Amino acid sequence: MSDAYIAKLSQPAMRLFCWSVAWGLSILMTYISARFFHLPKMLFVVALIVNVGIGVGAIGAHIRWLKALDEMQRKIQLEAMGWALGILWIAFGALLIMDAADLAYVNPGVFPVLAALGMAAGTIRGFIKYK
Amino acid sequence: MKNRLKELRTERNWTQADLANYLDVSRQTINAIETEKFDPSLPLAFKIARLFNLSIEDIFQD
Repeated sequence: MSDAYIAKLSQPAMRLFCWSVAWGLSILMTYISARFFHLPKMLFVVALIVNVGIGVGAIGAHIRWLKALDEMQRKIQLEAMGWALGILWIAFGALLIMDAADLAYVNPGVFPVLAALGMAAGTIRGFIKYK
Repeated sequence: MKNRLKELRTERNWTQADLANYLDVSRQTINAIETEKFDPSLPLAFKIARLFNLSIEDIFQD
């Protein structure tokens, strides 16, 4: 990547990283607190509000990062999002059928993991395609 | 879409990174345009044309 492009991208990329880490940590800390400590319910309501607030901030940071990308990198991300969304819909349908037919129990935690894997696979595919 | 980007760049002894710097895009994007894997948008095509002091049609052909 060119120096000017890297310089333009570094700040939004760092902000996206920080917001994403903060969001992940807020989920982890709230989950651990709820699971292992008996804290007042009000504290969890506050934690939930903080978590949603950080999540909204992470969405904003993601949009700013996408805007800082050049048009081809943005196209790679767009295609990767298409892959992630498509995989999510297909998996949701398949797992819904499996659940209804008592073939398997579906843990909802599998969906963000599938979306993340779809996004990663789509991004790698894009980088190879436009290499 | 066919283009003369690589030819014009090498005439000026520029690297892909140099051209990427001038156009404010990634080096990967320059490579993808040169190898005709990616067609630039109209604003980027205008930017390229202005940089080489040519018209868009002189650089990009159907």
